Amino acid sequence: MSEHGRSSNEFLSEAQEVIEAFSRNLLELDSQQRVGEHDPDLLNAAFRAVHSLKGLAALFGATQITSLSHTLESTLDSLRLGKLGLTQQTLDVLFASVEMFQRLLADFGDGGADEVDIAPVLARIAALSDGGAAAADSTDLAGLDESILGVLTEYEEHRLRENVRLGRRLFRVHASFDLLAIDVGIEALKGKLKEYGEVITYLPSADGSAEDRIDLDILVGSDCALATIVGGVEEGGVTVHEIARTRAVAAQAPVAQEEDSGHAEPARRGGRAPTGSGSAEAVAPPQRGVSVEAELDDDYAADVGHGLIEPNESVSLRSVSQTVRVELSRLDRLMNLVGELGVVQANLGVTADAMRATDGTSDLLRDMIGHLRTMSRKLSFLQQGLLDVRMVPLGQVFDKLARVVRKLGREAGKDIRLSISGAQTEIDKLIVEELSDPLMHMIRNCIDHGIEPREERIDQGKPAAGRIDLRAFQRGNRVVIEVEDDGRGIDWRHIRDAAVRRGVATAVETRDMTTSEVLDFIFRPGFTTRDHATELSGRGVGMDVVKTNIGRLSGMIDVDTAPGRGTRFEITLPVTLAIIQALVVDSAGETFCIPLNSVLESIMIRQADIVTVEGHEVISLRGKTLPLLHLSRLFGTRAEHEYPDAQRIYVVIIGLAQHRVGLLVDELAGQQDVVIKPLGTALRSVPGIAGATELGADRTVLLLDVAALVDEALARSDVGATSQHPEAPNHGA
Amino acid sequence: MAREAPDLWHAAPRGGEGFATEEDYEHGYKREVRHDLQQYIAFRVGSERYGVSIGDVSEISMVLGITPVPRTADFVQGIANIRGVVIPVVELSTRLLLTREQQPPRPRLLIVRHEEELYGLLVDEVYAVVTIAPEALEDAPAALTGARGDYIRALARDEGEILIILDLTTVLDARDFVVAGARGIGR
Repeated sequence: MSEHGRSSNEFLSEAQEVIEAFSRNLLELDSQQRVGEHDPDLLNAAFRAVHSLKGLAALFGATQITSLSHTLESTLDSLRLGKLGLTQQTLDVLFASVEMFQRLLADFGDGGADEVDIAPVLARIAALSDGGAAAADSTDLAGLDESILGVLTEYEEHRLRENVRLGRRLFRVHASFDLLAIDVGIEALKGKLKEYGEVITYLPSADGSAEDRIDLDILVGSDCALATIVGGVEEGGVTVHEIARTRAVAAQAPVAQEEDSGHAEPARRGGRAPTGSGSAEAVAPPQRGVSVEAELDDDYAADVGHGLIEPNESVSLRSVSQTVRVELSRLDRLMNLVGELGVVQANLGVTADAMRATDGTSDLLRDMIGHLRTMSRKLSFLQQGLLDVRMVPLGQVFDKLARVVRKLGREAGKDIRLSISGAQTEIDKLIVEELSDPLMHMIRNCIDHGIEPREERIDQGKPAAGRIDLRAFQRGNRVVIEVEDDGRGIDWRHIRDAAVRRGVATAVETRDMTTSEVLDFIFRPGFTTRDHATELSGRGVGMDVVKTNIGRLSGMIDVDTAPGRGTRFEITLPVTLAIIQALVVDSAGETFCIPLNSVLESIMIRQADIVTVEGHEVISLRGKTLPLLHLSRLFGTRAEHEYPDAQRIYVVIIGLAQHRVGLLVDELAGQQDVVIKPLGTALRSVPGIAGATELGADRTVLLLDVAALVDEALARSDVGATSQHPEAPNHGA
Repeated sequence: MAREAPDLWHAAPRGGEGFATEEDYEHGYKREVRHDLQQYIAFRVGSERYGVSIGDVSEISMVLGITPVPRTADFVQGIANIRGVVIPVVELSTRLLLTREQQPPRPRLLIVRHEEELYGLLVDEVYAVVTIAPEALEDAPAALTGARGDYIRALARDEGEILIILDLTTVLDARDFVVAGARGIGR
């Protein structure tokens, strides 16, 4: 028994854990049983715990534990199948068996003297099965399609009958998952569905889906109305249908999937008859992968580990884990290399041009130029491929926010519904990481300041539950994220008074401001309207931090509010920061890059086109007033009112949404893909500069921070965003 | 620069290891080999000799392609690209309130590591590696107070000459890099 001695400690600690889990399940079942209905999942978990204990004990030759858990297992199976009613007496016996397990374990640890007599407990367990047989399942399942019933396991069928017996409605939730993210997707959906009812089974869908996607039908029993469930879970390819039981429903499950239905019942895995497995395998291997992935619980892992399960399942395990986790810094290094390759390629191009100038006839040169062209094409594929690798769906951060909403909502005593759309919108992983904090802050603001307490909402004729919408979508080459609540909105008068009170602006200054200008105060550092900080927010570090963080991602944030009806924040972000297309411009002898995604257009004007409004230079562009900003003056590189060529002034119109500013530069030097490099801690906060980049010929140039420049222009002149009050005094810094 | 050669020789066993001197050869290693000696890179800015700990210096490079950055303090010469990494370049004579030498014959970029980031220090000439015993270090005299005094960590006596040991924490204080007024312009 040297084998025994060596590994018995391992067994003891593992068995101890399982028994403790079993005991916790029982305790919870006990408290539920006292108040009425118990959670079938708990019974299931208890069943699985005992099942793994059995396997574990058999492996280590703990015969008494094996036979006790074997007996217990059948009892728990009857319980979860409803063949046996869960009563206090049953629970008493179950708790007695927990104590017996503990004694057996202690005995096993002492060397197994076999002093413990398990017969009395076994007898009590056996008595349970004799006496309290519950009524057999006789619920009418007529109306449910045979194609469903045919693939259900005994347990699933029992749960289905239970749901029907309790008068619950049945729903078929159809969802489509990305093969690579299916485990996350299913868990998320399962989590949501559990709020509404019970997930009875997963069925692979017959609908032809793309190679890399898997469609599932999920059978759900719930007391809720169809609309409620739809509102809660329907998004991004998830659809919900109610199954009318009076008439036949359309076929949903293609083939009897012994493999698939088996997953809900690990007990059957080991000894499952091979019937049907051949056909199932022929149908679609990925679907088997799904089921394993979705139900890959500790129990199953334990079973595999102890050889209780035939390793045929491992085939499907392999099929879903064809992903690699990569550190972002490694991708950054690759991206940098690609960027540097781009520089090399540009330099090669220059050399080739020079060669052509001296000897344009050489065949070799023509060959080289051809190869160069091929290389630059491949290089751009490589670059695009690397960018694609960095892209992740925004759903990652949205899921986190959903949990925050639930938690904060409960803490604030407010009932809040979060509706998410566009979770599949993809954005650079780095941006997603940087986005969670600002979004979290905005959500906190919605809950703390926005959504009114329940009574107040009812008084105003609003639905009792507050609503927060989180939307994402792609607009051009930028991603827009909207956070909207249906709360009390922001009262601009309130903001104005607070601004005056805190000395941010004077009463005279605020008198002529537009509402949107007043609203901009919320983005000022340290600005708060609250006199007392709450647990959630109101400490005066809020929207300014949000704005700074988003600005750092070359994004912009806008606010739109209607008192009494809600507030909407709109964040506009670039899809990636790793590599961008830039417009190269010259100003006062220096070269700068402007991210092309914030350039609306470039025009050429003459000095005579520039007019002055209230001391601010503007031009008229298609009937609209466009404020001008001299890059050279902003950066102090040239004196006022000095143009290198008064007849040829280039204006790069930058901005986002309604904010537009014309940036005056000396020369437009073309477009280029550039890799952005950070400037480091010391220079990070230079206003208007977002970073640096390498152009060809070893030139390092600065990349402009368009969001900051637009802000600066708006702060300096009131003829900016809306053009509504050109006569308003300057309130800027 | 007669002492340049022995000093460079001393530089070979890096990391404060003890080493033998000519004295040791003469007296037959009677002296205890010291382990507390520290090495500094000595360089010239204007007419003064400065030093930074050799552990802080990552490399010494020629001065090439510095891109000016607007809205930064006057001592910020700009940014340089050192093998793909963009680093700020500090014009040390301005930072240390010295008169700037026009066209020094051998300017160098001393690349130092400070708080996990690289910075370039523009100096007029790099001399050598010098080894200094702790007892040869003294605090900056009180008379040297004011802005300049803040940048001095200690004074070292090196064979009769004074070496001013720089305090990189104050010289490279990130708060000084961006012009105070410019910071407030953006909202």
